[in-house]
Amino acid sequence: MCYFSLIAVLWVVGLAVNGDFFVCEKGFLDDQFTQLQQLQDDSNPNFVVEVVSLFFEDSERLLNELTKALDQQTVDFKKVDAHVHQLKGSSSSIGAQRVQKVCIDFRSYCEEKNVEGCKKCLQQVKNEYSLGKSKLETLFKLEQQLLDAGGSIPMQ
Amino acid sequence: MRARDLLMEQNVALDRARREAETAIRARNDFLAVMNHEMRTPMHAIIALSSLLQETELTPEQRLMVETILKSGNLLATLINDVLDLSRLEDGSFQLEIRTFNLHALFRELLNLIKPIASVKKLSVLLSLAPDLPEYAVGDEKRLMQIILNVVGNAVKFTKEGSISITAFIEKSESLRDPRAPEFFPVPSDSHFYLRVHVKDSGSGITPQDIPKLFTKFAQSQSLATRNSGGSGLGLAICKRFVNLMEGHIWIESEGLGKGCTAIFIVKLGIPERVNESKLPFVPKVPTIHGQTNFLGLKVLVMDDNGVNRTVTKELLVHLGCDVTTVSSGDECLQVVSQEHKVVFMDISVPGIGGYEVVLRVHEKFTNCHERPLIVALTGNTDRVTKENCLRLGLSVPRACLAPHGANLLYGVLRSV
Repeated sequence: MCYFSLIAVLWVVGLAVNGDFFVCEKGFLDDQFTQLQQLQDDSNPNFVVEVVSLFFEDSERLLNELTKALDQQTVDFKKVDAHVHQLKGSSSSIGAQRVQKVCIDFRSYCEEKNVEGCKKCLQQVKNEYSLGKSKLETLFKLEQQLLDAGGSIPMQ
Repeated sequence: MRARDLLMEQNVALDRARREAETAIRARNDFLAVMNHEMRTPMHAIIALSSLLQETELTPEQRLMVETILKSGNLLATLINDVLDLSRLEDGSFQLEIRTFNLHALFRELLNLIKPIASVKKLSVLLSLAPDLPEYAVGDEKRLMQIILNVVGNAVKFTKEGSISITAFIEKSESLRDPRAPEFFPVPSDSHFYLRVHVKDSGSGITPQDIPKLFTKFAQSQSLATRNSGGSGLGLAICKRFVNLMEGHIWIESEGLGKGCTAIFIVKLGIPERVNESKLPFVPKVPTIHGQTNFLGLKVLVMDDNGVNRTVTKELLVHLGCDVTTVSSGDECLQVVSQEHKVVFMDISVPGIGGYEVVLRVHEKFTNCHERPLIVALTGNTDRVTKENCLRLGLSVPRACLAPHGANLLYGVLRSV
């Protein structure tokens, strides 16, 4: 997969590698992420980090809004649905397919006006999101360490 | 002396007549272009807004009325298109738009379009492409699609039960000829081939006497007219003219009423010189030049209220060489959009001014359709209602119309500009 060669280089440089680090293998990110990586080049060297950071900011804001909205006495499902739609859009743009999948279920519950279902989905989204976020952060840290050690990151 | 004067007078008169005729044709074409736009704008408004009305809370009675308005609107739009097409075809001012396109993809698209309609009538649709049918061909993709859709649409319309089978292959010398047109003799060469398509249905069939009348304008055979046939009767007439422009032939065979029909057409298509395989599916890092498709500096506008999507779409387009401006709302879009923008990528689910309304306002802003940018819908909604609404508004709907806005998807759209 995309990071196999990266792992090989890191091993040679002597960095300890967390076996969990194949984010692609675990199915968190899909092909879309690979396409994003291919857009990164010398004219835009931090593209992936920038987009992913934007995604983190956006998502955290949306997750807060969702928590607030679902805690109300009378839930405004239109608002909830609008937030989930945004989240679904951005997660699919960066390739976070697990988050995107939960969003699809989330929207069905919204349509049914099912508060319990929605709350369950929100929890799931939060889990998937924090899982994915920590993986991506680890990835970026390792990439940075590799670059600092004078290596280069091979892209497929 | 007198003879020479006479000749000179005649020359002057002929010249004047020629110039008058040219002016008349120009005036007529301008009139048609204006009418085209004038008629389409209110048409779009009717269709778009009744679609939106359908999605609000309505009593059953109201819903029925809105559906009728929508259906009539669609019919009217089709009629307008047909009449305009035909008039351009008649006076010879019509030009085919020749380009390299994916033939296999065209048939797949056809299947996607026709399957839902056929399944409502519980008809099965079978498509089979010959293994030696080239993947890429040179010709007018849009008009070829129009021909096939028309023929297949008729098959579906006049078949109550059973199946429709579509076969496409390369014309060979031993292929069956039309007994009524023995002089049509296609000869392939190194640079072109003849595509032959058979559409066979298990429908009501046609009597042999009625067959020649099918391709004449406005003719609707008595035996074929049913309460829900609709249509202007121009479809096949237009098809025939397109087929003729493509140096081909179209005919129908039927053994009689109740015995189904087979429509056969042959068109001439070019063989592309070299197909660049590397353009699928990754984004080329450096914008490559594929014949006429050079996007360097193509001015495009991206409208999306989602920051992440905006950034990603922008980067994809920048990598294809475009000059990209981004806006995050309908209002901004209307302020910023100008004649220089050739394409507008629009997330139609943007709140505030709905995406559809922005489209209408853009159409209003650019009265000359040559200046109007191509509007491409990007949406996370893959439901058919959204797709149909887009098509009605004249929005270009990329085949895989949904986010993520894949690179090859954007590439395909830009190529068709």
